[in-house]
Amino acid sequence: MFVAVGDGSAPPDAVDPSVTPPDASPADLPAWIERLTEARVIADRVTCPDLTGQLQSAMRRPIDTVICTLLPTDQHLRLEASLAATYSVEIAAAVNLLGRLTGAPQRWIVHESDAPPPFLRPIRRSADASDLRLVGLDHDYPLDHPVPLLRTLLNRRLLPGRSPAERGVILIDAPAAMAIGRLALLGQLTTSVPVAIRDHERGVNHHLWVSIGTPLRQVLAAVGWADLSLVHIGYPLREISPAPDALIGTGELVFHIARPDPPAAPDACIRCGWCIDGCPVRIHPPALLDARQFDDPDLAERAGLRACIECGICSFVCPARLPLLQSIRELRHRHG
Amino acid sequence: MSDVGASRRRPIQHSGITAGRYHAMHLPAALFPLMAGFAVFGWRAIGAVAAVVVAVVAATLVWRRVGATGGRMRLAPILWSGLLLAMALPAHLFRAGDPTDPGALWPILPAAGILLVLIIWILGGTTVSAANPVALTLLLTMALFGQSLVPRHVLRPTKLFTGDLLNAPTAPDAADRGPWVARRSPSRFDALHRESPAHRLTLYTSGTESPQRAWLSLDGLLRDALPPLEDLVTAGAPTPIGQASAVALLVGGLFLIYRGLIDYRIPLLACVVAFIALLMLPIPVVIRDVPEWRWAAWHVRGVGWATAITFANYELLAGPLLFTAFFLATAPGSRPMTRRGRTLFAVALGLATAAAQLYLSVSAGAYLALAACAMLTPILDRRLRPRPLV
Repeated sequence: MFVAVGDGSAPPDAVDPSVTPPDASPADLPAWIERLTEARVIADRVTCPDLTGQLQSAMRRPIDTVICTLLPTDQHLRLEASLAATYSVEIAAAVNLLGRLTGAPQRWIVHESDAPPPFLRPIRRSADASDLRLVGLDHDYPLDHPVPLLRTLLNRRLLPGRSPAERGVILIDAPAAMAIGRLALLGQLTTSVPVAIRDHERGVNHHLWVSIGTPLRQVLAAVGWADLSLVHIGYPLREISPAPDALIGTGELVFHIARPDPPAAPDACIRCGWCIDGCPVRIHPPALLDARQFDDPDLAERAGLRACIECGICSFVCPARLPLLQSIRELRHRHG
Repeated sequence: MSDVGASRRRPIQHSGITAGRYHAMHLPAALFPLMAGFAVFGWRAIGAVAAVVVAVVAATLVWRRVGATGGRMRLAPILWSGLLLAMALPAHLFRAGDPTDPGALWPILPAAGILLVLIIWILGGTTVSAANPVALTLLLTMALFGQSLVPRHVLRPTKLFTGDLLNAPTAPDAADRGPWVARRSPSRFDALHRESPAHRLTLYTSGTESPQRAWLSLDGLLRDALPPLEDLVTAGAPTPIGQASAVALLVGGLFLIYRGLIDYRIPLLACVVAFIALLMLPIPVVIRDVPEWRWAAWHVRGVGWATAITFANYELLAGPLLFTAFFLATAPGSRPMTRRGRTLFAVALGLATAAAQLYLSVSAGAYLALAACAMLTPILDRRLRPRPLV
């Protein structure tokens, strides 16, 4: 299913369901944080914000929910669901372990409600066996982001960039859950991670298994590309390009290869209001554009600068092609 | 694994909908009321729309060369505004003749189009401003040409599309009381001469009606002086081109909602609030020497719920409220950008329309209300920003 890239990076075999998970209690949390760090189970990406930081926060404040999200960053790639289909035992074990370590009574696995049954069947079996709750959501970008996800599932408000643990939640994604599960069940270190690449230029999707520390350039070469300038990290709407020396590791695991759109001269705002209607966190992108033009931090604050999750929907829908996302990033850079 | 079945689409960093396409997406919605207008007003309606649109395009091409403001003028939104303007004008204006002859009305059509472009230029070159250029143009045209804009003719049901609107009797037929669709008897005329319900309602509610007998009650007005309500709902009353049929307007408006181009709150709230206000605001329940004004006419003896509701229905359908609520008030330049702002804006529009229709003019009330409420938009936008969810 996955193609190996880098040294010793063959996709691991799935764990037998008969393997029993280790016992754990909240008192074991500091020891487990240390163990996870030593085993290089570190993640910090949109779908799994700073795993170690979340667990450290859990030592200071109560956690009532552990969530493993299988919502895809890109529905055409379904990296998370592919992992869940193969490594369901590991994922269920990870959610249970984190639940016991943090004392969280609610342990949920969140999936797309319309994911194909072959993806869902194994995780449903594992969840039933481990007494976990499966929650199906109609996935609509950017619901994979922690801010709208926590709002939808628990009606809790999380500021972008803050740890979900501040709102009583430990949030992990399928690759992180798989790594935690393998450590818990087999004591296995994480040396490689799954990577999904959508090549828009050739119309091909790639699922790879890549050694941690492999340069992104080498991964691209494995799928026949040498040009880093065509690569987008995460969903393309976020407009994030990789650094020239980017390595595969704890960050984003989904990439898109596509030529950037031909530059288009922005028109004046036609006040269609689509950016406001489409914003998942209900901020006011045109006012933020004004705030950048007039360098007005008060206006930026009132328009919801702090709440923006930089999903890029405003720029995507804008008929006038205004650089809304870039303006927000510039404002953040200028005013913190 | 390499999945070769993946789509070969370009990156989805932009939806591909440009400003021009955004405005072009509105056009199909206008086809429904336009077709209804072409059906009941015939080729003169097509000619009137063409005259306005051609004038708008020509004027835009000239004015966009004038100064930096002209450089900001874009053809697509101005063309859409021109089409809306044409829909709000009556078809009988398309009448050939020497322009110096006072009876020749056709110069009003290109003049209105040129006026629209001039107003847009004055407002900064875009249709995005605190004033609705179409409403302003219509109000100015009405102020300048008054009675010439009152529609009085409608084609007979047997002459749809093909008839000549001005081939009609010179005065209304006293026996013309039935619904328009039933007027199928052979006639040497292509069209009927009927009194405009908007004009008649204005005379009554402004208290300037002089009754033929000793008195005229509200019930008598509805029963004897106005066409059947179904003529306003389906078609058959003399109206501006785009307002020939309330059903066609509704279908066009629903199309705009379906395409995500307008917010349903504005037409819904504006119409509901206007309807309630029309029931509550003082109206003459009977006109003798002087009108007898009463608040909440439904509770007045001799009026009752049925008459009051029928009167409100006539007011809603005879004036341009439906057209304004779906097509003009939802224009990006006129309405607030936030949901809460739009809600307040729609409520204000409904109230102002009801008041303007009752005490000023049924045919201009909604435009006056929109011109006034559009001035609230910058304030509502400033005060009612969306509340972030986090």
